[in-house]
Amino acid sequence: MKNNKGFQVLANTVMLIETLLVILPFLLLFMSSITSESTLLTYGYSFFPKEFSLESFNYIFRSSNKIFTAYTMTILITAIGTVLNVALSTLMAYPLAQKRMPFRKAMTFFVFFTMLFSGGLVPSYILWTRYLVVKDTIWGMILPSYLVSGMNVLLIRTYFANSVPEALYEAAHIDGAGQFRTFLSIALPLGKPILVTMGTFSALTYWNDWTNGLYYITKRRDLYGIQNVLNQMVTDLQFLSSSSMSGRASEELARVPSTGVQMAIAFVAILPVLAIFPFLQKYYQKGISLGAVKG
Amino acid sequence: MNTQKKLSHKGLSKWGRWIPLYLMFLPGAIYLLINNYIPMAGLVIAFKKVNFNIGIFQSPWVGFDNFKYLFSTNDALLITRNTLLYNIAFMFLFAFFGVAFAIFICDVRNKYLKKMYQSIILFPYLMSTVIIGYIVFAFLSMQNGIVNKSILPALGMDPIYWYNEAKHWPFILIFVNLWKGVGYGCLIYISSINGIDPELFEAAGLDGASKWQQIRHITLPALIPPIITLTLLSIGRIFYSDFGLFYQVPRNSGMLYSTTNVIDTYVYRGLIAQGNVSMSSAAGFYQSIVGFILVLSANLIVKKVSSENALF
Amino acid sequence: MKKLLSLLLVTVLALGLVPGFSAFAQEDPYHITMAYIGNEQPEMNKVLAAINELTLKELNMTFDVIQLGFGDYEQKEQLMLAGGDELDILPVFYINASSFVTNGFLVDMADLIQEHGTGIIESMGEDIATGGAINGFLYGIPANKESASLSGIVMRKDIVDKYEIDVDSIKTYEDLTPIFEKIHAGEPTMNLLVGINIVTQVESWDVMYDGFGVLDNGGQDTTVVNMYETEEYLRRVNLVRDWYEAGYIMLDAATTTESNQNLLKAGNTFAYLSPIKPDFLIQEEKTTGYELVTAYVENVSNLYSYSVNFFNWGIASNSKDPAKAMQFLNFAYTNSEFMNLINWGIEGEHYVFANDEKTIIKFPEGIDATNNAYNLNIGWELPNQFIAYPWEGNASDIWERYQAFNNEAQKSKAFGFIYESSAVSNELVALKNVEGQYKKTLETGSVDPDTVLAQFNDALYAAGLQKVIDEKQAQLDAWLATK
Repeated sequence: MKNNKGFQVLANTVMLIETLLVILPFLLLFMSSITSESTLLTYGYSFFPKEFSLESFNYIFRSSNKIFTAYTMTILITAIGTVLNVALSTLMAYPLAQKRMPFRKAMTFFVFFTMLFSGGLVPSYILWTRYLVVKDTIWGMILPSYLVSGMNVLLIRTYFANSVPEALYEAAHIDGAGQFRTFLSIALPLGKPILVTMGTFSALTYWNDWTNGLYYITKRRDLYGIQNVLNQMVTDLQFLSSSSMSGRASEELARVPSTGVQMAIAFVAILPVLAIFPFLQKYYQKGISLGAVKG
Repeated sequence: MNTQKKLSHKGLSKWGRWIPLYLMFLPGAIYLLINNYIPMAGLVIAFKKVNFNIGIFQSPWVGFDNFKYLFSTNDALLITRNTLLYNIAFMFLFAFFGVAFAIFICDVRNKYLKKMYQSIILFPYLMSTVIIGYIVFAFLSMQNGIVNKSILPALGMDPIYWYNEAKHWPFILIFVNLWKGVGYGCLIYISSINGIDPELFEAAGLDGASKWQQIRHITLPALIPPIITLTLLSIGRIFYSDFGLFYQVPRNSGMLYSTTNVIDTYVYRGLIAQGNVSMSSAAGFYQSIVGFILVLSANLIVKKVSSENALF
Repeated sequence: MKKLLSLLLVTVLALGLVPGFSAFAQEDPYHITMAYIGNEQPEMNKVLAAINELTLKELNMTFDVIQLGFGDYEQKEQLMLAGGDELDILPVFYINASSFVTNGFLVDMADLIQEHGTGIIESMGEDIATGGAINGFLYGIPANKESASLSGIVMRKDIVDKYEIDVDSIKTYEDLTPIFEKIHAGEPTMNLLVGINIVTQVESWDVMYDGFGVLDNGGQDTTVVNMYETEEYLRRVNLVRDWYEAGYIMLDAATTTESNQNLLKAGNTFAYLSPIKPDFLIQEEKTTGYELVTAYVENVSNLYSYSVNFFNWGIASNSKDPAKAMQFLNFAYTNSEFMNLINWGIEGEHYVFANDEKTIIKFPEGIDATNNAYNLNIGWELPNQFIAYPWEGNASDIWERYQAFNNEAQKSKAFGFIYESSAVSNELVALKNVEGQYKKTLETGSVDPDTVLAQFNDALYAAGLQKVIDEKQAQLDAWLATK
């Protein structure tokens, strides 16, 4: 018991330090976004800025229409993408966990190989736009690249194969349950912890992605997600302030927001996720005890 | 008790039992076929001098010409070394901290703290590397950073020229990457720990096993499969690096190249002006093939040691 | 009502919904798709309808645009070209020209311009109009703009006044030292000079595309040399190092991602270097929020290929009918109604005349830069801003002055020459990395040139600089021989 108490102290100390390490940079990001640009450049970055300025957030507010649309798109894309991703990945992973299934290794390799080699952007672009015509549609934001990730499939497979005893699958089989019923009644309930985890990662992938928008959206900018809006500002600034452009397009430069604005947008982009996280927590609860299923 | 049914099942053909599984596998497989396998035909670009006007497949073959630049440069050794060392460091540290944090979090009794820790470790994962680059700059900017402006003077130390001195960057980059990515593996390990039958711990507790013994004999063995899976996956990508981490975070500062230049950044800097699709395709092919060979070997070794944990 | 109907009609046509539809033309109208780099405009469709009305009447063509951003144009353009997307006319930056030609993205316009582009040749002059050629392959036609390279220092007027700086005394880089010294004494924490372009903004060399092998003396020499070994470079780099050590230059100069203008705007910066063109300060003062003064440094006014051909309009090999695309370009370079529509929108709605002579325009009542529905304002990249109205704040003779500004500049001997780099593409990858490693830090004074410059040059030669110089020299000699 004494031993255990010591462990509690150790665990909490380490995790509190980690918590600080995570929170402080976020705090600094927020503080910088409400510090006036001149204070930043004269007195430096600080947790306690000398002079506040809401200029950055004003800028966002002025283009709030665009940001609101982008937000809605991001949420929609994340929702659809995550549901499809988890469904397809789980369906794929379950067979791979059946140790006695013929061709199991070849099928696993089929999945794994996709993580090693990629044909490159240009062939993918040609396939998705010319033959599957997703360009300038919402499917262009969802389908390419992220719908099934080999990584997720293999991690779910590892979980099904190791954290769910094979005997359970066999027992269900002997009880006369079909494969699909075994999947629904045993694998899914027991796999809840990993499914929620993979769902989280898949949601974060869609939430953070800007490449699909960059490649597959050209005319329908209203389909852009929030990360596309942010990424566009960042890359525009980098390009226009690069030495080869200096002074050649100062009219354009005048419209590009400063670092403070970019930090503010970054903050706005992660805010809803920060708000949603605590509610997600209850799904991370311990998995159902095996006894419960056995009984 | 179910002899009746058992018999009827035996009566089915050998394959009948597995057909539903293959059907479950099918939708995802079709997607991978479309999204990943068909575009792989484009790998021929690496061996051609591509002219899109006449088409990818009609363009002339040039053998390994597009690969030459990866090896003929004096920096070849440096970028290969940097890429490998960073990835090996990441592999070990991610496993170590991921497992440690997962065990800590799972054992924290206070429900609220536990929830908070679980959220906190994933927060940095939400940030794009560009923004992380800004945050690092806010700390390390030589003129306006918190470290040089507030912390070091308070300690009576001289300012450090972070973006001019390459020697600090292995630590900074490893720290930043851990900070950003540790939550990923950690959450997977947490789900594995949560999948352990609680009865096991109860039984061990009754037998008087100490916390440390429980970790060693119950928790860690349960974590071996996901650790092996994650490690094998990262071996496959050992020649790749997170471009943003090595480009945006050090702000492309030339003086840091000796410790920040990796294969991806080298290729990017070299090709951005040239826009040579064939040469960048060649770099990707080279990175993949090395990872492929390494991961096949690693998988063989795992197979020898514990065959059930091998990936395929 | 009639207007509304025709508007609807052209929109339908523009969207390609009724491909075979042609009520008022013998031949089906050709549909032109043009990409541009700039900002989104809320009323783009309205303006497009007006443009379509014009192009249908003048050319029997319909017209649509694809907007690209500054940060993403390169990747998007490459994908669209490689993917065979519908595209006729596209922007080609000088830096991308060579790769676009090698990749087979572009149509050779050399014959097309003679056949369908006579209007362009008349308005710009043949040597400018056809200057964008690589080995005889005409990849694009330059946007008509101020192209001469004349650079100077832009300074805050309040500081200049406070310290009684004699702006007219500034002639060379060295003249800046006493000024910085004086201000630094009074404003020890102020960044006196910012930017990563301190050494090379004053373009005393013809960098011939990439800076690896240049022509010295403003391109009056015809021997290709290594820029980083020239007298002029050494002189400037040493001077900048002195400034850095004296604390005049921002410590983070080499790694900052803020633009010079944003830095000045923030209030702790005195000056930066910039190309200077007629009426340049009007825009700059708006951007920075400070009254500014400027002085030419070194006073070298040169005309290089890369500044004339900095931005061009090319024809994509995706185009179904390059001849039609060329006809359209010819129209775009010569029709002022089109230019005004695309850059400023519809008269009376998006702009009004600011004077009775109708030579200068401005925003209508109640509309400004923050709430306009259409104000593309990318004259510097559009085909021919010289035939469009100047915006309020500019002199009405601004285009004549731009023209004069170009004419006064001294042409480089290599004007019109661009080397074809595919023979040295391996070397260029290594050279780019070496450049990235040393250039910015040297040119912001962050490192000591006494030791680092030699390392830089050694690394350049080790990466194959001599081979690139030889290649350029050979191609240049061959090109000069044909002149």
